[in-house]
Amino acid sequence: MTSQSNVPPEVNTVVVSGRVVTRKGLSRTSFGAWLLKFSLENSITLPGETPDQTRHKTAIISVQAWGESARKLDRQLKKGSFVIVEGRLSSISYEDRRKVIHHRMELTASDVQILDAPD
Amino acid sequence: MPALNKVVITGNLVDDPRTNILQNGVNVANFRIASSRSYRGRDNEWHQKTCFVDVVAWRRTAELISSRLRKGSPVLVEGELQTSSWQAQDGTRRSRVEILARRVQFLERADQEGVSEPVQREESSYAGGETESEDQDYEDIPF
Repeated sequence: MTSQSNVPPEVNTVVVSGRVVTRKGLSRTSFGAWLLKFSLENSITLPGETPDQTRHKTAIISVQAWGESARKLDRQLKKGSFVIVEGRLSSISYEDRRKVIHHRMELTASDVQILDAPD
Repeated sequence: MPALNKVVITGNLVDDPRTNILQNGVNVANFRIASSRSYRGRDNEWHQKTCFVDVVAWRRTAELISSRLRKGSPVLVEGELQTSSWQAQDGTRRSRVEILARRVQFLERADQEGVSEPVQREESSYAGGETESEDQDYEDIPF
């Protein structure tokens, strides 16, 4: 805890695995940084209503990689690749046509491991 | 292939938590936290960036959140990322990524509540065996 009241320590850590379902091409921002965006499908198997049944729980997570990591991934990452991503949560805020502000969560990757690539 | 999905994050609530009791008697709580990060920019000065994260909790965790947390409360949330889908009032299908809280630590200092004691921490968690019934429950969420 910091000495200031109600200011929590800065903790923001994510580790998630899954298959790449979409990926955009490598781009460069206005200040010259490389950026690669992709989304992955995280799926886990849960018990079903009866002992011989199972069901799946799926989450689609948007990921962004920056800098040299993005350039490296651009050469290696394919749709269907199975990856483990470590990073932190970030959010984008935008205003819709009715002037309502929305927040969309993304995962900013610090490390991406490609475990399996599609044939 | 390994199935991994783990989040640990701290922040302050941006509003009072929204709590509800479903028709089957299960408690659910939704809240949003602002999580800040300090970093040194290209100008060599310290800056702060804030991200907004939606969290959902169930059962006993939701009950404790309802009784203990308010706008501004500092928390540490452990959980997993999940996609939540619902139909908006205009009929369109919406989805968002949120954290399903497995464990919430309340980081409020006890002396902020008028009690002169060192930092007080409470934790809330529930058995992992209830995971499957959470998913059935959240389909009934009216909001």
